Amino acid sequence: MTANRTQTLRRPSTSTHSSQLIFDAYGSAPTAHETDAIRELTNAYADLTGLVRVVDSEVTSGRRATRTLDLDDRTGIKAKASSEFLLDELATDRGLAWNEIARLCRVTVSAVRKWRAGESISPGNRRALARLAAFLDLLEEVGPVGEPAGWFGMRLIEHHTVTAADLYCEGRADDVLEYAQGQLTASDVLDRWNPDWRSETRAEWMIVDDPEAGRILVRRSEERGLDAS
Amino acid sequence: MQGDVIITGVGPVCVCSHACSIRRGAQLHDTQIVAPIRDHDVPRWHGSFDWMPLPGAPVPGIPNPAACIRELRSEQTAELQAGERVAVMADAGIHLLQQRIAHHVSRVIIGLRDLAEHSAPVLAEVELHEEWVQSLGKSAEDELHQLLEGDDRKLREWLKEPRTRPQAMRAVRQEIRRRKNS
Repeated sequence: MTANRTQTLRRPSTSTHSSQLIFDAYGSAPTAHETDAIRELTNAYADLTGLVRVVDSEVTSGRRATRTLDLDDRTGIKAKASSEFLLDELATDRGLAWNEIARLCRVTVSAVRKWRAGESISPGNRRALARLAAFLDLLEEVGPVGEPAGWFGMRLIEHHTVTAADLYCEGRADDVLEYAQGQLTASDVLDRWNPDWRSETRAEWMIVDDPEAGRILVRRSEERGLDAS
Repeated sequence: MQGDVIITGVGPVCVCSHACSIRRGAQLHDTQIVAPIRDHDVPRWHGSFDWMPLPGAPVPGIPNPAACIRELRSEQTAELQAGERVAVMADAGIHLLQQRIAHHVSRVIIGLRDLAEHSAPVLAEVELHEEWVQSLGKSAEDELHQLLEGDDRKLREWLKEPRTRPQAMRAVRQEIRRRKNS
């Protein structure tokens, strides 16, 4: 070790050779031993980085797989209830609109009306109701979403009209849960769904409460950025 | 309700009035905007902007029912009430109808998602209204209006926002349940 070791790092010289940088830091040429040690550390960090990536990938896969198993398990439990019970849970306890329940379960509104009136429901449709109920339970547990049904209907990103409910309908329930838990950003989720979402889902209009006209749609002003005033 | 297919004494029509325009307070307006339903095979959605296809609507004698937006007119509400409602339109259909009408009269295209966001509070209230009347009777209709307007219009304001809409839905449904059980 030399006396100049406490010097602060100067801006590197134009040469980017590692030994030159070390020379600038220490004010004198490093010994062969120090150079070897630094290179060994660099390689060790590179190995660790690769290992962390592999572990992260496997942990992510495991997390998603167990999340799917959990949702399936909860769905199975919920599916033992009657359709009337499930509908009541979704509509009265969770506050979902009937048309929204129909959309999320991929059935017609008239089918939901019939179930409400006590008509029979197929096993597949019962499972769809159960899965939705189980999903909302899980959503409430995994993330700081507050009111799950309300969060479900909100835009994921401002100025783009896609909601978590839209992605659920597209078979992206796993990604929605990952987003709720903070494992994915909203952009990540949307990129995984549709790489062109930025252009295809941009909100061209904004909703305004006008004192005379009521609730109206107003075209966004491009030249002012995103919001017309 | 917007999108309803009604067989009237003057032929089948599709109601085109916006849900907010159908009533004045709790009362229906004297007239509604309708489009007559014709037999018209719409080969594709894009390009046939004067028509709103109604596939599957059970209109007697019309194999390919489509609402003719070019022939929008007003119709007496009494005539509609005397007719037979044979189909109601899903929310997605209502948004398509709105989009096509807006395009027909202005050549402006409003995105379906934008229309869906804008319509959501109104359609939620229509749904609650139907449920309220079915459960508690038509005589209780005004009480729903009072409930939504009460407490400084709290529930109606909650209906406007997706985050709070479920709270409003829940409150009204729990009130229906309470009244039915009392």
